[in-house]
Amino acid sequence: MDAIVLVDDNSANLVVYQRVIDRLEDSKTVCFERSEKALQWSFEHDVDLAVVDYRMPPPDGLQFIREFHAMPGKANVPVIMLTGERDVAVRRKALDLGANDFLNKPVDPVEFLARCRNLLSLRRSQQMLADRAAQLAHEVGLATKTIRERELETIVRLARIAELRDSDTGKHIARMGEFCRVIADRCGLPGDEVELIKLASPMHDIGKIGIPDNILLKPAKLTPEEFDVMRRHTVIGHEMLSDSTSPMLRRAAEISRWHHERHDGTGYPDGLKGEQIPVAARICAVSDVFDALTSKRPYKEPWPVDRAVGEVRRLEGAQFDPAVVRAFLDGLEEIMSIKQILAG
Amino acid sequence: MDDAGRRRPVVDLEHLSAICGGDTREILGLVRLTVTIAGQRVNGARAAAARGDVGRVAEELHDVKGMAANAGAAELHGVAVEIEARLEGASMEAVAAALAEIEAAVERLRAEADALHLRLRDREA
Repeated sequence: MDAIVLVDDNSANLVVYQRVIDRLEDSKTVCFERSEKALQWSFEHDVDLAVVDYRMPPPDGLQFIREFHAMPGKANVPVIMLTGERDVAVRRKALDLGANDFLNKPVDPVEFLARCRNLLSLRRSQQMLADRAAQLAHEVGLATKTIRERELETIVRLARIAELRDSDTGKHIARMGEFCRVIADRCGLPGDEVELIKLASPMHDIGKIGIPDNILLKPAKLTPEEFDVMRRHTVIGHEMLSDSTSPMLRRAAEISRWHHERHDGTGYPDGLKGEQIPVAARICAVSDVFDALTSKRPYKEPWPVDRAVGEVRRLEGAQFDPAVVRAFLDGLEEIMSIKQILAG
Repeated sequence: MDDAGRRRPVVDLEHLSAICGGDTREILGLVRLTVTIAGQRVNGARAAAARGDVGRVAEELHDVKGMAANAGAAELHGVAVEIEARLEGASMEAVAAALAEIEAAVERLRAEADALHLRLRDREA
């Protein structure tokens, strides 16, 4: 049912308008002698057409249109202004404010009814288009979500392949994502960037796919030559992931290449220092070391949390960005909860 | 009184009938409401005139003009149109005279409403 708001400070005029509009099928009229009451009601209800007098105690017809169209969901609701004015300036101002039509007093019932009917028809068409647009947007959103989930699943599975080659469990990559999320959030990064880092960080070691087993799985200390090969996992990962159109893969490429860089510039593969190192990689560096220290490995027992935190602090300014270490310490309680949930 | 408005019928029954869908009772209700509001506006104009506020007098009469046109009060509308044209720069004596004219038009409208009422009653009897 169409809702029509009639606003005129003269109740005889309102009666005239209502008598005419009541002939419209499937509509209801709500009349107001005070325009501020009409605005208040309109704010709280759906309106399909507003018919408003020009000369009224404040807010007058022009002010009414301005405030009405500024309301959420009312920008495209048609408005007819009724006026005894022939003043062109008044009409132009009303048109500027979004009045769709003018009628001069006295209203001709036939013309008035036809104009109302036309504008209501326009309103219904607008709503149908808006509904269709919203439906399409919803469908596109669902399709995009599905594609994104598949992309993510593929990448997580790739990351797990790399992870499972040199450890017993894929829980490390799950923890990495969550640790990085907590630290990135505490660093004050925007929400969408935090989410990107969370999704991209599990791929930090994906380049290990390209490292030969005899080096990757060697139970003893690596020779300098073997270590050089091992270091190449950063560059291999970057080559695998870079040049993607996906922001997530581009962020993953950064993390993969630079998560072994050090704040003081002595890391690899490029010897970047300080803020030359992308923030996602700096965050990932802290998360990776902390998780490695507090996890059991074939060659070591897990470190107690206090000792691992002490180590992170010790490396602040040398290996790690001090701001990221502060964010890590700030989020340590949440990180430990995640560690418990994703143990193993 | 040389009054263009007076040459018109007091009410435009064709217009009223178009608005009210030919319902005589509705027509009578609308005319009575018009008389009531016109009376209120004329009182407002008189008060404004007593304060020397000619601008406010003009606003009240402008409202009467628009309402009378909408509500089929043809003669009242004609009188209001004519008076509005005369009010700009008018002396207070001229304003008082104009108000007397509009008040008389309202009274004729009231009489017409009463006549309509009688006709309606007779028809229903």
